[in-house]
Amino acid sequence: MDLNLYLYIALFLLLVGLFLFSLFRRRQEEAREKDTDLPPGTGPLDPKEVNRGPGE
Amino acid sequence: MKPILIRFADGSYIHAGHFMLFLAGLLFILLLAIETKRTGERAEKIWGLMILLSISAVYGAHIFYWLDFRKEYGYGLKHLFIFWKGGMALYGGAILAFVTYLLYTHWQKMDFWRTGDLLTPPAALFVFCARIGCILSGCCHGRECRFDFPFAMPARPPTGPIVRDTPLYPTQPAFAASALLILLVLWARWKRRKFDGEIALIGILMYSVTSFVIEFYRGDLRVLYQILGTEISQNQVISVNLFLAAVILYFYRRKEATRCL
Repeated sequence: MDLNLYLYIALFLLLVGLFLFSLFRRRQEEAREKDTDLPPGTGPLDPKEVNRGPGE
Repeated sequence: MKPILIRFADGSYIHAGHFMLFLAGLLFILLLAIETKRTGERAEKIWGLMILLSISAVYGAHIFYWLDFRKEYGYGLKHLFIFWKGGMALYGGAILAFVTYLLYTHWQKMDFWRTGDLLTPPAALFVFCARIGCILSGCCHGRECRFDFPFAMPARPPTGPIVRDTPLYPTQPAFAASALLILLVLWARWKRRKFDGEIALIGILMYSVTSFVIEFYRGDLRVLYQILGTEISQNQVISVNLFLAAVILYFYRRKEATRCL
């Protein structure tokens, strides 16, 4: 095969590699965000609510 | 001029034009990666777009060249598919790449203008390197100088009837210098841009003007028309249309941006 064609193939493969890598990282980020998401009503408490005494 | 960059013992070789396109592609990717990270754009969408743009730009450039010169060089239908053995026309690549860009940004719901701004400086760098490839391979050369022009280049034409060592207008260095100038202007403008699409439109405006002027001095085989007694090339016709479209869009976008403020 012509050597000049290899140059174009190398460039194209680099682009495909970058695409797959960035897609993989995006999926990882999305999965991490999902893991930290808590169900409704179980989120961190408001410090004002926690420190409020019974008479307040 | 050095059309064959490396020749191996078995007779295979690397052509300077193809090698410079490869280098141009690498620098384009590098600059785009930096810009994408800096602006916080979705990288997977940008690289997905780039995969399709690279295919359409290479094939568009080759198809355009094939359509224009298939008779002159006796290219058959087979040549349409072996792009690495035939020539390329920059505007052909740009036209097909633009259609792909339009469809992809619409499909992926990307910001048409902001993505255009992101791609334009790397594109100027790409054109600069590709034009260095023109200097090395001897294509896109100038007409014969009629007077003692200080920057004239000796002819080493791969095609055409020009006699070797005839002084020619340095159109390839002029193209390369204009691309570098565009890149510098776009970089200088980047932080002071007032609306999305400004960088892309300035790039198109500058490229169409410089290309239109330099084309008058080109002497290689091109498609030419006679308009009002002047010989105008096909690229110049495209440049004029591109310029008009960019001017209209520039003022429209600027007006829209001031209205939003």
